[in-house]
Amino acid sequence: MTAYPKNDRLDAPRPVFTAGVRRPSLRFRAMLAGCCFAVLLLMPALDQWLHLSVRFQSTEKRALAARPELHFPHVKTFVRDYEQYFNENFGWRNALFYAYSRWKLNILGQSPLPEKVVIGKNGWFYPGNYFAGIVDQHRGISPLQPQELRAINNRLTYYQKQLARQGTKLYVMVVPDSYTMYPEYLPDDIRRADSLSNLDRLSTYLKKKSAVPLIDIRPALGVAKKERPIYCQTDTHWNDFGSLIGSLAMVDRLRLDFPQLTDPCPTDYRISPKPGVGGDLTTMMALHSAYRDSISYAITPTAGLVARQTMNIPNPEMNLPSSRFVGPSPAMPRLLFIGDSFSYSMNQFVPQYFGESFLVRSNRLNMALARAEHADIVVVEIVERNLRKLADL
Amino acid sequence: MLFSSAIFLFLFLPAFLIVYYLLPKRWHNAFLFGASLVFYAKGEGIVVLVLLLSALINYVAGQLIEQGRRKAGLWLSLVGSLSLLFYYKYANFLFDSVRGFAEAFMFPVSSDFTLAQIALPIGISFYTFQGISYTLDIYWGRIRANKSFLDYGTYVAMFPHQIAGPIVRYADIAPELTERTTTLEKFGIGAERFVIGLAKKVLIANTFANIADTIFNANANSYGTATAWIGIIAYSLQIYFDFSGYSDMAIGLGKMVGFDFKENFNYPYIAKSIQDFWRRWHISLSSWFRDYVYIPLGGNRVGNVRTYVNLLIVFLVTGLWHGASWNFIIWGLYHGAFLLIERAGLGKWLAKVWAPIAHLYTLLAVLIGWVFFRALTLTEAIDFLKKMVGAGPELPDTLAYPPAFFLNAEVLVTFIIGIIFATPVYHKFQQNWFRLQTRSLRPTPHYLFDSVYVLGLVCLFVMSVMYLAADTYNPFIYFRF
Repeated sequence: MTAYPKNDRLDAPRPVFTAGVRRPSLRFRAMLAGCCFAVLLLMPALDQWLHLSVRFQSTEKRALAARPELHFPHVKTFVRDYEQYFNENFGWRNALFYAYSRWKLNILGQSPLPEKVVIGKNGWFYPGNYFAGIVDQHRGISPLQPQELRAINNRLTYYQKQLARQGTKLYVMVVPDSYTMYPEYLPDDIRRADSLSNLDRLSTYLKKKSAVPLIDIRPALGVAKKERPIYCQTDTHWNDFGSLIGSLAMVDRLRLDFPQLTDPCPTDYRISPKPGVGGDLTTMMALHSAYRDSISYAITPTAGLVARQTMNIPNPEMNLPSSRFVGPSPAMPRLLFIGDSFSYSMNQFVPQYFGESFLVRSNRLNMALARAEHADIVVVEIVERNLRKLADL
Repeated sequence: MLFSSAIFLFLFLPAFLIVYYLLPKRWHNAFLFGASLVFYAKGEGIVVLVLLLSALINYVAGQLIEQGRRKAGLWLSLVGSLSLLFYYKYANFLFDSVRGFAEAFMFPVSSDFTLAQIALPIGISFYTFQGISYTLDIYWGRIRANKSFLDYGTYVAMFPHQIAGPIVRYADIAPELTERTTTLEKFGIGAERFVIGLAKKVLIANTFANIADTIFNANANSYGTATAWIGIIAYSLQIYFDFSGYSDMAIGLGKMVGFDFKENFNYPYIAKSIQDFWRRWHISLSSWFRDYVYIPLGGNRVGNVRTYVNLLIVFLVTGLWHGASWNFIIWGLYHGAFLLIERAGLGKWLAKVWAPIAHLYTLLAVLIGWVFFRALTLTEAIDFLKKMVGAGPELPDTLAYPPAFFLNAEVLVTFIIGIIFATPVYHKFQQNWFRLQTRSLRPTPHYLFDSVYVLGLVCLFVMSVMYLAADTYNPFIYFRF
């Protein structure tokens, strides 16, 4: 190799990008493009300096990365942290996400956060697969496996036996997902498979293999749905009316074992409609001002059915406080209620049926607490999509 | 640091450009070199030293060749550069392959016989090839060695082409390294190109990436034949728009600082043969292999058999260059085999046949090739190909990923846009548009049209940044502290 070898002239296609058509006013166009590009690059810095986009608040409900400090010699850590800080705080970021959300939903008809929010019909929004694979569960492609059912049963049976030693009865209450109660507003491509739902599987399994009572409130909610909306259209949760019906259905079931409990009746409550607000699903998408529930309810019990709240305990596990109540009839059974966020609205409708009640927001059944409470009844409430968590209760 | 990241767009790039334009010309190379090292070190840390070492090896090699110690210089460049490339990119692969073969043939292999995972320095394949082209061009007398390490280092390290190409040859930008002009007009042309590249990457490639990643990462019994085809078509469009978008951004950034990089893509999916495809796809790489491997091996001037062998060698190395795995080797040889067949006579038939048939043959061959390129293992690739022809295992009644799962309005629109922009349709439209403008004698319509065009670019940029912002937005239902 002493000389440059002869280049085999391959018959290369003529590049289409050098067509040679003289562009008129190219100079003007290029200069205008250059000026616009320079301004666009500087806009975020200007925003951080002048706070031009301050009205676009983050709806992320998390602490954004703070500006890191350089602690020499940890330069690499500083660089990594600074990038995260910059990505989460650069100028116009929130405004851009607001615009993105509107573009995706209003123009393209797609969810801006497809993993977290599913866009339904008629103004309905549903939680996405990010939440316990709810879409896959509903479609029947993530069924509870026999070993999972066994693990749940073992866990519940263990607790049931432990509680029975102190004379406490254990119940499991499952709040159905909005998917189960309002499948008609789901997008067409998310259909329930012909197979059983995971709640049906668990219910059947527990009936066969266990003595743990599972409170199924779906029939009661199904009836109530014909009367009024029972779930929020823009939120993962049920509305107060759904919560009322669910609470009364639970008390109704408990009365089979504790007949002294007051007979629950929806007519004991005054239900007044009021304008709805944007829920957690639309808030995540920064669309809570544009998409709201069509209705919500103010529900007040009649005079004889009022419980007195005696304590509100902050609860970092779920960011929702645990609450103690004293009911109108002290002779009634004591209740320990362990629930998720769905149980928070039940504070209004459950305590009045019990002598004393303690409603705790948690995914865990703390046996030390159960022993200390000396409750007659322990109810574990869980939303349908999280049934698998019962194995780790 | 990716060009399509907030920290690059709104911190590094504006800061770099402001300083670059304020500095006197004589400082431009030094600043570009320094900023490029910062750009590289931000992502790679101390591994920036590998880049500098590679640059130093080839710089010294160039000087040696220039001083008459030609063989020593050439060997220093080839052994030095390729040793670094081999160690960082292929050592683990070779070790694992040897171990795998030994186990397959029942040779006793000690459990202590292991090699720690070596982190691959980003862009090493690009700067290695740039270095080798530099020394070979000096060796062949095409160019003179650069006496300034600063200038040479700037050529190797400059951030516009540092990470994902194109492979810029020293010969092509040597004059600009010493004397280049930066004007607002040129900056604007670069900005236009950069915005188009950014939009290609963020709006088109990333949309296809979501589809392709979902399908290729999915469980084999969760999708059927139609979905497999959606997956591979999505990946084909993803890789084209991702890569050509990145090349556009590099060319645009180059223009902003006064360099004119050559084009890297020329509508490869309109090719009528695999040979034609390789003249249009990653042009800087295919021309590099042609000039520095194929022709030195004798090219097509050494008889048919040797020509075929040369082609297979080139495509074996091309496959390996893309990544250290058997899938890439197979992908390279697969393309090489098509070139052999075309050279043996199919090419002549393709030149005569009705054009759509030639296009269809090429697209089908390329698409199937991409399966090997995208799949992580050979088994996965074969399973996917089986899926594409409907020969996979029996599927459950309810599939996790039916075609409808992917084909929403946005995806369909992106597919249409992707297919249009993968062909010269828009380019032809633009040509006709300019012709229309030239017929108009009054300047006002020109300015109006150009203003509308620039407004379109602004919208593209804002939309791209909107999508980038959405990627950083991670909301929760409850407060997380």
